[in-house]
Amino acid sequence: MSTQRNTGENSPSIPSLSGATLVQQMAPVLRKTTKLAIAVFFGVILIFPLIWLLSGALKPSGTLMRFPPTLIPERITLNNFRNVFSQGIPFQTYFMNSVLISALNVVGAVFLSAMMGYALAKYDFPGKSLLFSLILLGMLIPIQVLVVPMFLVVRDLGLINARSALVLPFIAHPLGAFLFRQYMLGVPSSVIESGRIEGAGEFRIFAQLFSPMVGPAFAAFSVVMFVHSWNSFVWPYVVLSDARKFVLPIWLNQLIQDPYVRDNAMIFAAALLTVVPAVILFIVFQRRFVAGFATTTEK
Amino acid sequence: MGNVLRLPLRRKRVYYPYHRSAILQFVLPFLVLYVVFRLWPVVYAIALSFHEWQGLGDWNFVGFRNYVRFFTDTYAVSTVVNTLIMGGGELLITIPFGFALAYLLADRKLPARGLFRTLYFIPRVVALPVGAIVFTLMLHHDVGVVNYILSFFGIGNIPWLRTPGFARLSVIMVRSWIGLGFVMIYFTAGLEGIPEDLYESADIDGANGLQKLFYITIPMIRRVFVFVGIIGTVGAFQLFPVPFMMTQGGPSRATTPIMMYMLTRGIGHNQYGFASAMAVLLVLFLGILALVQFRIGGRERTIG
Repeated sequence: MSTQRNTGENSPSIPSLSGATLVQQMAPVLRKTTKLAIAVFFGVILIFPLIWLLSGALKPSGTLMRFPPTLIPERITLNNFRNVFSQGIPFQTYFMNSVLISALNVVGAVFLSAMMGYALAKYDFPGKSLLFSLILLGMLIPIQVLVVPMFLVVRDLGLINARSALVLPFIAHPLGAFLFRQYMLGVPSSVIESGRIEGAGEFRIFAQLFSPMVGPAFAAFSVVMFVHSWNSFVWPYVVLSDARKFVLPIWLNQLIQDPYVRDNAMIFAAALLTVVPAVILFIVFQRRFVAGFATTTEK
Repeated sequence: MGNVLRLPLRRKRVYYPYHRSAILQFVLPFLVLYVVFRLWPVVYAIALSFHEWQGLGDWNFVGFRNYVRFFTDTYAVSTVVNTLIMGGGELLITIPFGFALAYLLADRKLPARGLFRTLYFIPRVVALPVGAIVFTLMLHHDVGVVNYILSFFGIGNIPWLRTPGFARLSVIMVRSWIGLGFVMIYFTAGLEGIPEDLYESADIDGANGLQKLFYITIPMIRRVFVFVGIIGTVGAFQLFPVPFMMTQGGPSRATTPIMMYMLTRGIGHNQYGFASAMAVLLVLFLGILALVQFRIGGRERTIG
């Protein structure tokens, strides 16, 4: 790269129209254009499925399987969305289920993990290193492979088909506790000391004085947790049987498995409505997201 | 004796007794749920893996039979093979392209780098079922847009979801689409960690772009390659929704990953002992991989 730049900087002093110098002058521009073209190419490929989803959701019902396939619908319609909202159990039921479950997951996981992380970072107590080892141990195990024994535990507790079964197992989040501990270790304890001198209780010191200082950690963990929960499939699929309690991903699965639902355009509209909140959240909180995802490895 | 002597000293350094209730308040809610829903299932699975149990009645002790069964059952072994093929295929796409895209966007003179980074990452937040739905239609052998586009290049109708090989490739495509931007982020973080002066001294020595790529960039971030490889492998062993929705594990079980097999054996057929043995094996295997990842990847995990 820089070698190219050097020739570029040297050549303007030679005023000429000779081919060789022109090529030399053009080289950086050419490189830049090529790189841009490659970047655009990949951008188009990666975004194409979502454009296709949007296009299908706007096509009149029954024209999705027409050949040749077209990107621009010959007639744009919102009927598919109307259909999504007028199913036996309408879209908004599933949507609100998803919102509720994801919100509880975020709030619960953030609170519990931050509190645990705080205890690990700022207190000394007996059993602390054992506790920390247990948390590290939990980080080694992807929770998904434990679905079968978790199912049995949840069944023993009588929580099959209960909404709490989608929340309680996930809010004691070992990676969350670990991340908060790491962030909080980096914040000086003088805040805590001065809080104590002023007579504030330990919890108030944590909630009002200390936590705001690790705000970015809260934000990053919250958005990532929300999207994980919003998109989670296996566990809700295993635990829920009552269709009224379904969250969006398993409802989508039910739609495509149901031999009586043949309306692909409607399914596309439903899928689009499932994706949009996550994408918007991502675009708004992009920086936090990338930071958060780069520190989480859960799939 | 030594303990008695050390005890008062340690006490002094350690906690403030008057904070005991506060500490409990911070630790206990997490700890209770953690023990019940994370640690107890592991213990449960280990215990159950040595038994036969249909979900009701007494546990039947069978020793290591469930484990032996796993390694001798051709179906079980084939699901491991499927998992590795699909996971490996995904890595063959995401690692080179993820690196290439990160490298491309590392050029500060490229316009709209932020926009491209956003575009590439967006599929990561798409729910797997949505990916499965869109790709199922896009890959339709007769009316799908992929075959339509390929037809312009003289490539005939590819039976994407209908033959074992192409069905696996279809799963790989969906997973790569979702994972590519994610992998790119790791490479970006790695590239940003390479000191600028390495390149400057290479310039002085007259190295060209390719030489810099192969002698500086790639060696400097080789840990990221290993790291991404491990994350991808761990992810492959959690593969389930995409093949489940697109191919139901077929054709000829070619896209049945181990997760799907474990779930159908366990919750589908009530063979809880056998499914627990699989869970234990997965915990061990993935735990070791994660341990390796922690050891080599400590830095990359916090750079992002």
